Amino acid sequence: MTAAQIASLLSRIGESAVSAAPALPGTAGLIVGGIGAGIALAGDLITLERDPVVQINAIRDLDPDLAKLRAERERARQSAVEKAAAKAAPSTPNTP
Amino acid sequence: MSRLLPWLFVLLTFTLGAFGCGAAVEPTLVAGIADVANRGADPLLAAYKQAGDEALAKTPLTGDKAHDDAATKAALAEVDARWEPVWEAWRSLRAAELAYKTAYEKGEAPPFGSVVIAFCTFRAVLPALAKDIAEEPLLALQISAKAVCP
Repeated sequence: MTAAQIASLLSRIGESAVSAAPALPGTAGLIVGGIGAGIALAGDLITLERDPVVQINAIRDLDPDLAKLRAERERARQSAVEKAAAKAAPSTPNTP
Repeated sequence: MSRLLPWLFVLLTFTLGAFGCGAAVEPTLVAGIADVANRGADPLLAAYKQAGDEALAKTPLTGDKAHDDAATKAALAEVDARWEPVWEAWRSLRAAELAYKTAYEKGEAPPFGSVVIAFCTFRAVLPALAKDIAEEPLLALQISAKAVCP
């Protein structure tokens, strides 16, 4: 059901309630008429607004970001291991 | 019976009205979920990066290349295992949102329930990582979850 269809449905329900309100006994007619007018107004307001579907943004695909982060992290890991190994390696004696 | 007819009409009107209002609220909620998830994306990635950096920093390096290689890989694998449910739930949420959007645009019945389930599943995996995640996006997700999740 699209927003336009919902808005149309709400407007029709509201208008039907307003037109049927006088047939109801006592204050019930007033209450139904008031609420019906409210429902019709809600339908009209939805019609006036933009279709909400254009406001649904797609959720980001994080996989490319994750792949990039993991590649950077792997480089950092290898670099740390290399540095530690170089630091621990016995320095070669500088003998002639 | 004739006295009951107007009240039956009132009942029918309000039932249809409630149904119509509920259907109108769904796209707004789905859009809200997408927005709040997207707002949380960068902080989540930053927290994941920080968790990896911290794991590397905490791993003692001996200078033995083979040992250090295995130790650092194990530390990062532990971080990845902790975070994988988040990325998996994110992928499911993204797929559910895309399915909703596509169905909605085509005028078919959009699968709102699957979006809510995916979002609540995503939200449910976050508390286990609370210490890794910055407060702000977590708070935003908690507020949204209160409105949507059972």
